Amino acid sequence: MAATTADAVVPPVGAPAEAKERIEWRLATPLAFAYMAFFAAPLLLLFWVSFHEDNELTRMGPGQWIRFLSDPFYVGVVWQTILLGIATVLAATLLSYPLALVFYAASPLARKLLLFIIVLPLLTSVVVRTFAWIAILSREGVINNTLIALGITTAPVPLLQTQYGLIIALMQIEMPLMLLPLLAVVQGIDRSLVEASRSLGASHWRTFFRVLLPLSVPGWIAGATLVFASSTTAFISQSVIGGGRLVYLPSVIWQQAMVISDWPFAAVASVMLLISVLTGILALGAIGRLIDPRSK
Amino acid sequence: MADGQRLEGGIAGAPAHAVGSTVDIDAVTHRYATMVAVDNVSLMVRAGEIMALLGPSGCGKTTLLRIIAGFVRQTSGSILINGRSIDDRPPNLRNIGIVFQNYALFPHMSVRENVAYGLKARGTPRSEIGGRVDRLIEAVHLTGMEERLPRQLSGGQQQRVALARVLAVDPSVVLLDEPFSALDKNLRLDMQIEIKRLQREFGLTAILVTHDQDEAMGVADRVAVMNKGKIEQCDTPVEVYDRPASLFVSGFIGTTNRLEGRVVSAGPDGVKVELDHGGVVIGRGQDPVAVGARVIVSVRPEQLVLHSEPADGLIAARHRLAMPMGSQTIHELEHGRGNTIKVVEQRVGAPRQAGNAVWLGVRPDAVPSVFATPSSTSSSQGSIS
Repeated sequence: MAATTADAVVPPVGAPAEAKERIEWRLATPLAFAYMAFFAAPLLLLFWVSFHEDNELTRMGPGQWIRFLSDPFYVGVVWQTILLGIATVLAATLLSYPLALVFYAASPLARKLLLFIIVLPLLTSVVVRTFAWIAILSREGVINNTLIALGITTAPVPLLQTQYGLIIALMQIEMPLMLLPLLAVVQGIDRSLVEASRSLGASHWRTFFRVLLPLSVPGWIAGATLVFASSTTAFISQSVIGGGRLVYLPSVIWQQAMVISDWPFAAVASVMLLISVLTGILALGAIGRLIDPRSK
Repeated sequence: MADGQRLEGGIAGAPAHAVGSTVDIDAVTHRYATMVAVDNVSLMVRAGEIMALLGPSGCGKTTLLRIIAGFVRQTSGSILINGRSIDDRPPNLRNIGIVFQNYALFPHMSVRENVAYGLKARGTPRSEIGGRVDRLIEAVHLTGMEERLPRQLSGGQQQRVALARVLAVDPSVVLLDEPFSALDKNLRLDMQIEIKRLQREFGLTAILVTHDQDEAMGVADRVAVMNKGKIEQCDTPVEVYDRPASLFVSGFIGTTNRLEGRVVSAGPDGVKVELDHGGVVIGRGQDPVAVGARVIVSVRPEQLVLHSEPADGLIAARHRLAMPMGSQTIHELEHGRGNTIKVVEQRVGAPRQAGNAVWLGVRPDAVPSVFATPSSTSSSQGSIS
């Protein structure tokens, strides 16, 4: 009896490996349907709408695309949007790496404290953080009052509604998105690698550029992707800090869709934004593969 | 820098001088916030020898290694290489090679790039690097694997890369931090032989940190046994095993039986001890002991012989267990109340029967060690099992 029970329980040879291989795809079906209905379908609709000549969607044609791409103003807006993303990524990188090194050298307790400080801004709304920057950057804001009080300038320096002001604000707002993946990767770098580098005769700088930097690239790529995607599409920050003078793709979409009600043209701008973000993400991925041979 | 000269002089893989450097650890103490990790340690490592720092975890051996490497600054004392202090030099200017426990190979670099790393860091001309790296990869038998990444290598191969990477920079001293602990047992012996071979070939001074006595005994020319931040004994492996300087060393190196007793006579022939549970043993006094003093006799299992008949001076015991291990048999005996004694004997016939009364004597050529009973346990009898 005991033998038969055991036989019944033990699956045939080879079965356990197969069972392990099989992934239960059905678990993902609710999410898949949600994505199809609320993401994939509207996206296809967006493409479809962009290839219409008129607002009533009666005539199909590439007219809106030709209008968008042949207008230097709109092409300029695309470039400005991509440049804004690149500038924000660069600024966030310059400030993130020193902090990542501090984090790497810190004790476990100090690491927890640092993480808490980094995550803290995420607990407040983007709108609040953006308006806080107005208080800092405006003509009678913290920075200008300080500069004037110190006698560095006599007249207020224009910061609000400038590209620099916007980059500074976006950098601070998006910083946690850069730091969290970067720190997660940096945390996992074996300290003995740094010691090996040092004992082999490498200076601190060489150790950073040859060991820590390449090994942290996967985290940086993830962070940079988030910052790029998030800063190029940051409608609120772009509008509030940039004002009417700085035009980026999100505000073009807003104007065309909500103000002018030119739906096909708004669709073209939306698809262009999508392409810009995807191009940036693909470029970042390529940089990552170039630097880190392990990802090949 | 003199080291730069040495580096450029490197030919055919191994440097021509092949003498290594001396390392003097001079009264080094290191205190962490609440504890003394290294307690006034002095040790002289001769040029071209392998010195093992052997001790249980937490004995201070790793801290000492990190002090020599320059990762930890000692509270007091000094480290000298070839007689010159290196205390004020950062790790990258000490010319000390380290083979890490987990090898610490750069995971994003190929075998070749790993081996070339130190040479590039020192600004060796590019034209010299290629040939030197090739020769070192050949020296560790990894030719043909130059372009592989560390993760594509086995544990033993990774360790060979770690060795080649260190040897490439022609270090004055090589520190080996538990280098065999991550390898499986068969590979371990191979790598111990390999390290010994490379050390001879390159004339290296090496310091091996380990908690594994077999590793230390097999590889090292001398062994420094550490306990609680202090060096208890520093001598050749045979001396440390045969003449342990302290009770700790006798227990940490190899297996030993501790028998308590009282000194009946002490002379040039040795110390005669009457054991608490019967029997008389003559051993070497490792501590100064007076007649009548409480002592602990440390007898190795292979120093004892089993007798089936009682005789004068023999230790009475009861046979409890025999473990035949191929050519040897390990016997576990009970002596007095609850004291176990282990005896190893070459097995010739059938194993002995358990449960019988047996008598133990010390082999005529064996010399047990006699230690003064530590003061804290002097009043209790038979406390050590």
